[in-house]
Amino acid sequence: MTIDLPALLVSATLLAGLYATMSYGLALIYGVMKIVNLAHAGVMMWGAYVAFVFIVNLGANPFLAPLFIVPIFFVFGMLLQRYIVRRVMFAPPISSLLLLFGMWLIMQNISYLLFSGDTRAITTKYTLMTFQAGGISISINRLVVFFVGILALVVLRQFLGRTYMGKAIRATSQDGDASKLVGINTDRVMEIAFGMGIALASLAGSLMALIFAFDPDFGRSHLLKGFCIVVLGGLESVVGVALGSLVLAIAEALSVLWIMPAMQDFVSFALLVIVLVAMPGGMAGLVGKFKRN
Amino acid sequence: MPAKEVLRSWKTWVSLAGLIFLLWIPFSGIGGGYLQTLGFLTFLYVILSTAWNILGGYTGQISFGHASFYGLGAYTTSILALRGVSALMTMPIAGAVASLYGLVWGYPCLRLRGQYFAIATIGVGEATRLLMLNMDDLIKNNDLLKGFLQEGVLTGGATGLMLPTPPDIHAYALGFYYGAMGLMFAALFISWWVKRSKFGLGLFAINMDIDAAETMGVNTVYYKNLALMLSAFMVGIGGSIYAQYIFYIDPQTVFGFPMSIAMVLMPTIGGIGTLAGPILGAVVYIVVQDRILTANLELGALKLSLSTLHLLIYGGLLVLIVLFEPKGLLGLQKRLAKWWEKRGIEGARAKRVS
Amino acid sequence: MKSLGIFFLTFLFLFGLLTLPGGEVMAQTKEIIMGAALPITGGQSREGGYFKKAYELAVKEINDGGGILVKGYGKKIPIKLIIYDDKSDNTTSVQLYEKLVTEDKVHVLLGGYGTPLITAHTVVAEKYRVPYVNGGGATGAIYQRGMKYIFCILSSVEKLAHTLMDWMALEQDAGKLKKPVRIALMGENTSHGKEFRQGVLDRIKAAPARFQVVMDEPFEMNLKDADPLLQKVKAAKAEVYLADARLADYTTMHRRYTEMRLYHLVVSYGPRGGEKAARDALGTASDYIISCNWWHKDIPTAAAKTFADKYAKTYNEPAEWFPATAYETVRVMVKAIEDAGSLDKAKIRDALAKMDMKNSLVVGGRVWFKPNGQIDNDYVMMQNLPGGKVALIYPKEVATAKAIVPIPQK
Repeated sequence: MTIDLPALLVSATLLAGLYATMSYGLALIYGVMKIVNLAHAGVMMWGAYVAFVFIVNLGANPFLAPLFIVPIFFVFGMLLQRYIVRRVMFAPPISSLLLLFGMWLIMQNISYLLFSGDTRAITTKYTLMTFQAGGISISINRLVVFFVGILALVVLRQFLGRTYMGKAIRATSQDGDASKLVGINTDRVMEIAFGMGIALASLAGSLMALIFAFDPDFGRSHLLKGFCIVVLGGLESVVGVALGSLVLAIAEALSVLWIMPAMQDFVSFALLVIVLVAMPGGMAGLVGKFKRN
Repeated sequence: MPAKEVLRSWKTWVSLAGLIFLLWIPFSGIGGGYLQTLGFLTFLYVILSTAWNILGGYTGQISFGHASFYGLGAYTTSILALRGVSALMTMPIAGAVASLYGLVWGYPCLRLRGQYFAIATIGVGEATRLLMLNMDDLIKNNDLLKGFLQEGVLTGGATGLMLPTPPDIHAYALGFYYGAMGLMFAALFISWWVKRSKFGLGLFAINMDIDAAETMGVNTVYYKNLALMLSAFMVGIGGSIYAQYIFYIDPQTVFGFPMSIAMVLMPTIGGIGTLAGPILGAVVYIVVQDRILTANLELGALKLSLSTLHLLIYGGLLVLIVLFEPKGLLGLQKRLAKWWEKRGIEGARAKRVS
Repeated sequence: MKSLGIFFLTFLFLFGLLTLPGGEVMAQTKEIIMGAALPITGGQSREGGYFKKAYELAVKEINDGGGILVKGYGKKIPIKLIIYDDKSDNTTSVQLYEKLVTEDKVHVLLGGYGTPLITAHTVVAEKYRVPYVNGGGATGAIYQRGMKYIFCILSSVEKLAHTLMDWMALEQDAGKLKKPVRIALMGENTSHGKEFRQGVLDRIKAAPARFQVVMDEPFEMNLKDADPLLQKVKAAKAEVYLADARLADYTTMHRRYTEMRLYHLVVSYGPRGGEKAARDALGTASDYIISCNWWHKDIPTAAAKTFADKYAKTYNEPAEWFPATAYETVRVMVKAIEDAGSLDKAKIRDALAKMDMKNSLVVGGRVWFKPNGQIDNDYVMMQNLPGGKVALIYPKEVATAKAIVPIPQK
């Protein structure tokens, strides 16, 4: 039985774009604040529901809806950090883990109250549209997500590398006290970074709503997969996330040639543990080593 | 503590009354017998909570993958029981299997610090669940391992495993109530003993500053792994009890992420790193949850079922505890006690002055 | 020592909480208490929600008529319905059913939804000998444990698969489907999916001249990408595509199926595909999908139509099979109580075992139970037609159209 390898690799690449998009927020918040954002799943879910309201109830264009959604969540994220998350910034890690987990539960309940537990799907004229390339059909929605993944990577790199705030964010993540000494308003930096992380999560959610059916429980499996990607990528690097997504997606796709598809996720989690133990720098660490040599 | 002092202290008598109450519950008929079920579940969860606390509270290694031990304990007992081994006999084996598994993944992972370890445990928990879910399909084509299948079933995959129920299930449940209570006290004793021992001292030292502890001569690797193995053993036994009481296990329930989270939440809500914290947390988890899931508030014409808000209440509780009292409910109690004392002293001082 | 004090305070706390109003206990003859724990939140919240609505509708109807006529008391007694949320968690489900029986003192229990939940909590109903009827757990294994108080009005998933295969055999004999035909089989990695695959494989093995299996794969739920699975289907050069998936995965899989321009003579997702949500998620891509289900609103019996209209009017949405079987569960329980003429649990249980309810909305119109407590009725099969319509294609008594096999190519 011969599987169409090129087709498999193409879909894996598109999937990598999805993985990356849904993981940037997680990586950014961890990188800057060393906080594991368990509410990431809740934000993605809320992003999906808000997109649903915009697209289904208000008739917005599915690809333009995120333009409205992302700024809303950016502000939400900033407020969340300023009034709540800030207070556990220097507490032991378990505090932030549980705080954000609690927030996730609250977010779920609000969704249950507003939308009931019914599974929702968004069907637009773009839903089944494909782009044909050499006998391989590419879903337009997934292609858009892929490009957003690349765009986000480029924009984030430029932001972190060239702008004042970006550099301030990197400085704060390296050494908070030293940053304060050189005059960086670290409080503001944290707010912005957290806001961005939340905004990225909502971006992912609003786009994924076009592809997947969702309910208030949505996001859990994406969050868990997100950990695999972020760890693979090196936990703190945006480029790492992109690389990690690519490696993971391709590994998963190729693995079906040898193992049961049902065990694909096992591969991801096993990789998570192995990479953490053996290669803490992840992909970014490897690239760094490669560059240095 | 001199015996006379113990006898005179009100705390002793109060605790004794509490113990008698616990022993009497099955015969009290409170809630038509529901209190006995709640009691059993509370005992079970106290065991889990206390066990997690040894690794997470005393040693400071936060594990989000403890469900892997729970599940292994449950499955070991079920698999052996279905092959004719007496279920009660399987309990120490269940604990041992879980403990061994702890060593296998613990040894490499415990080298990781703080958040890294926590994230790794998430991976371990999920990987274990998936492995057990697909175990039957994985080994059915392997000539070596095929023999473990009984009618094509080892773990039962997604279907899970069903244990036969005993003829007199009420007496059985009663026995388990007392059995679980006994095991709970055993677990608490172990936790208490660890806390007072040199081992425990080493764990607390590792928690505070692992490098300093290492410098002082604490064999941190050995201690950490031992703590994990002990914790795993206790949780494994918990899983075994669970399987024997519910008579049905499936991978999503016993290996699932929600189970791991529950084991983190309970000691944290109650008071992480203390002896009594896990107890308080387990009670809150079981009893308060029961109330929330089933209570109905009626304000005039407005009827509100609290269960539609249970996630909100639970999440809200977590958020409040983390923000305002990270030491959990126990910390809250101590703060209130101090405040009460201070009021007393100031009151006395005011009296003296006037 | 201080910790022991805490220990005691803890239990005082526990004791105190238990005196709070939780479940209410009414005098036995004033109300008939029916209880259930449903997954209102968690992974099964969609179905749990349907069940809750249906239970409430059924109970309201009975109560509007004064209640259940119990000969032993010589009057009609209203029903008090208690529904708890088990969060789609086994342990919680068991705990809540224990509570319903012991603290709330229900007379009878109604079923929950979802095989793992039902497998776990039926032990409780049996333990306390409380009659239990469910319309939400079709897996046969649940009812093979020698339990006497557990009843189910859903035929087993295994039979669903058999029905699908038997129908295909009929189509082969009618010359519409080729013989032998190559089948690609997929099922979600749950007991539901496993039983489905097993049922299909049974028929394949029994008739090699008709069916050949070229692919048989379980898949993990919440698929992120159906491509690996579907590429395997493509490579296997199958002619018939059979899958068992819940709504979310069906959406992911069939969207990709359509994008890949795959084609098979027969496409079926087991019980999925005919409901409104499934059609909305796929649009015209869901046309011609064959499904096999426990009920459909277009079944031409008076009972089915009455329910479909009632439900649509009350809740402003079309009736799917979930609320239908849930609604009927209540009616079956009510009839059992009427037949028993008393609120004695053993008598109600016997009435259930002997149950022969006619004019029911289930397929075949009759509710009865095998010795193991599960019904063994037929399924109804449907095919999605263009324009959002659904035709019933099997069995002959209810069919509204002939099946279009093979599916037209686009």
